[in-house]
Amino acid sequence: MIRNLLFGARSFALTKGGLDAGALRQRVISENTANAVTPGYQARKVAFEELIQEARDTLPLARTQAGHIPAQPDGVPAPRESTTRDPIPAGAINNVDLEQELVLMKQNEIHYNALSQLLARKYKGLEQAIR
Amino acid sequence: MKLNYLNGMQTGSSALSAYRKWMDTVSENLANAQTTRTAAGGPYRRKQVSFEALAGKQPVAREAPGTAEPTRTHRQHMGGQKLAVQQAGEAPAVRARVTEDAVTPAAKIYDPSHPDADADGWVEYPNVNPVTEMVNLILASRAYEANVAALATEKRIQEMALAIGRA
Repeated sequence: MIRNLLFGARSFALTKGGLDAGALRQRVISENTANAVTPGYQARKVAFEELIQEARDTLPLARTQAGHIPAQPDGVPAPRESTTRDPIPAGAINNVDLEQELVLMKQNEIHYNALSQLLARKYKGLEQAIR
Repeated sequence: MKLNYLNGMQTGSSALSAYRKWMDTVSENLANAQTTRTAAGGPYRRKQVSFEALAGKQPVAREAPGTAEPTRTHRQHMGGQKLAVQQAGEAPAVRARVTEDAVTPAAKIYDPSHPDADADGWVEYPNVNPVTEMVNLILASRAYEANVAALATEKRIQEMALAIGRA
């Protein structure tokens, strides 16, 4: 109960979800750069931010049978990994754009940094409120 | 979401070793660009590297070797438990394979005074094209650099995650 009161806020879950997505995205970018010259390799990507919007737009799912899987209670979707369906450019061996991956990687790092500091500050604020 | 934090490093290191292998192969080819005699006979044949994506394959959990049950030789010995340690499987992203280029024909140069010349005076030179090798070297080192950056970023992200608890 108290646990829910302290950490149950949706913003906590969202921040945590964002960090998870950031870690997964870094992993996927690593895989893409690792396969920069692998013939026929399809670049992969992680969707998260757009899924939050989607989850916000859809109504909560009703459970009409006991076997139904409940929708995530906090409404924060799990990050989704998928293959980009971009065609392989003419003359190229795969659709990995190394420069684009490096830019994405830097963006993702800054984003992750911001989120981790945000979460740390939230905990700090809670701590001070308790004291 | 579960994400083994060591796997990211594995991804980066598999890439670094793959591209290192490519650069080593290019060096070997350039070093042997004029080698007309090898242990196997004939001129040196160019080595080429092919890459295979392993991304998306699930890491394999292995049981630690030597999981025998401890024996009790004294009645006061406590019953030993069989240890089944789950080791984190590797999650490599890419693998480089070195093969010999048997397709590109060898260059033949007429030089009867050469010790490796055949009866008609022709010498078979390796099928190494220095321009191709230099282009490959640039590609390999660029990809290597990108993966060093990826590995460094992975490390910084993990440090940030640890810093949340430190604050």
